[in-house]
Amino acid sequence: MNGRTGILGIALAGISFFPHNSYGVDVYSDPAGFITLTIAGTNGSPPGTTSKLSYLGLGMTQFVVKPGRVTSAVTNELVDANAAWATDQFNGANGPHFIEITSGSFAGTIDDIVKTVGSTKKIYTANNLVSLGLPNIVNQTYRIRKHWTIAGVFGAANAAGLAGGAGAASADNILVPDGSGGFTTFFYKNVNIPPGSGIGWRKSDNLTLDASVTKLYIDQSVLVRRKQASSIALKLVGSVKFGQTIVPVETSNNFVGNVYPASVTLSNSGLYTASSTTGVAPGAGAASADTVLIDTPSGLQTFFFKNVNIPPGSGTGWRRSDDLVTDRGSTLIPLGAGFIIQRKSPRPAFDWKSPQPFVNN
Amino acid sequence: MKGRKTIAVLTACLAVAVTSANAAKVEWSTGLAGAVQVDDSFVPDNSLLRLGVFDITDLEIQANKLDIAYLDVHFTLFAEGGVGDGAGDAAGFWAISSIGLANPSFVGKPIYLWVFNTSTLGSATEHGIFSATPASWVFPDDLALPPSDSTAIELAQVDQFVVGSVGPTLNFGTDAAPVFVATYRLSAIPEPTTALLVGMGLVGALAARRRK
Repeated sequence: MNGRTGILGIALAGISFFPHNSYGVDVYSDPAGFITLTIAGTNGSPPGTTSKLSYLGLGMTQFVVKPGRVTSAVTNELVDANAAWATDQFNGANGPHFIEITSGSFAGTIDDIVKTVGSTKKIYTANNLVSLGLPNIVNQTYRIRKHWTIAGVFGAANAAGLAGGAGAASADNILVPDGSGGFTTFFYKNVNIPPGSGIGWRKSDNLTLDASVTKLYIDQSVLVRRKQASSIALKLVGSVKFGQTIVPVETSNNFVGNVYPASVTLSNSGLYTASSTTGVAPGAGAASADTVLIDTPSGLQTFFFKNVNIPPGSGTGWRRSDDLVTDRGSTLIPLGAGFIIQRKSPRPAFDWKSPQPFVNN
Repeated sequence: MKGRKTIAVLTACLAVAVTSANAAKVEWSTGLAGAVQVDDSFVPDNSLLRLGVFDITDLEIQANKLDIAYLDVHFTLFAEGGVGDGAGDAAGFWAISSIGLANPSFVGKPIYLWVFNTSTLGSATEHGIFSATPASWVFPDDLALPPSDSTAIELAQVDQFVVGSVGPTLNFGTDAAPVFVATYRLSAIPEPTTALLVGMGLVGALAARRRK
């Protein structure tokens, strides 16, 4: 699958779908496992190809470090009266964490944790979840996980084996979506040039600052530009995420990832909901509709939802931009894959409810 | 992640501009290279770095390399920075990220790097103009799909010394484990008085020729 095929290996470690919380003693276990992400090299590409781009989806999450139930909430302050966490346990030096609401109509909503206070049993989220549409957040269950980071996925000392370099132009690149349609570029700096700038993960415009703790959101695609001939098999060990995931889709290019360790088809992706305020906007062709771009051995292919039977007999449903007739609903977004949702201007942002593509058993 | 929504709201107006006229984003650094002056000392911290395009040919740039004002007229600035930016204030080195939101007309044009040995164009006594032949040295469309690989360029990739030359190669490692760094040398800009004298000499020569 052109460098994005994931191979799922799940070692069930005792599944508990509901956390048990007994006055600060948390007992919780997730199904653990791994997927293998393939970072494609240039080998096999047309002569003269100097780099190969792989769209990765982080199909595993970090393990749950704290499950619980919200007992009260004001703006971006969530209280769990039964919690027993320490101040700054989920932020700062302990690394970036996020909370996922796991019950209610907004289950799957994810937000960064910016502050943790032990004495008040509060966590502070990056956004005002109440005003964002979660008025009934009280009594809903939640899970807290650590974010993936560049070091967590690719290794603090580049265990993944990406090509290092003195700068981003010569090294393999990790491209992290910046939230506005573009990217921030990272690379592994393997020489202490200029002197004192050190060795390690760096952002392309800062050769000195350690970028290893850069957050990688589970619902975003991570792009890797490989400049070597050989491919890399990257094993991502983690936990399986259960339940739907709410993914914000902004106006512009959205580089999103399959957050589950299972492939999903366009038809069951939940991307088309028959309402352009909750899903992709359909159209007669790819030029007017919102589009979904999936990487294939032939390169990026563009899909859209066709909602009119024009030309007559061409039908409606998921279509590829160059073929208005063939139904493409069974097109796979593979596990371990990232892909692109193009939300056309001036359509507003929407929250994509990405359903869990497998059955709990 | 809800966390991104705040950013999206704050940049909503910007995003409209970006989607209607794509911007170019370039991340530029020295890589395994540094910039040196004529005497082979590193270009000082905070010296002016300019990234942009020329509307004249390389031959015209070279023919007018002593006339900074003339070159400046024919140069469209994409972004500028200082030596030491992003690289621990090390002389001769830099790493900068630039987004040309205001002028999408850069997209598709060859990238030129204009380096000076002081913090202002007017006070510089040396400069170098560098480019490279790889396709990556073209201003990218940052919303192109798939993403262009010209978002990152390095001085180490330079192979077009429009003004300037190759400097000494330095070993930043040890004898046992050498790490060689190429350098690119700037070219002297005559003092205004010197330039004037050069010009007067030419006038004198022409006058003498007429008298013959």
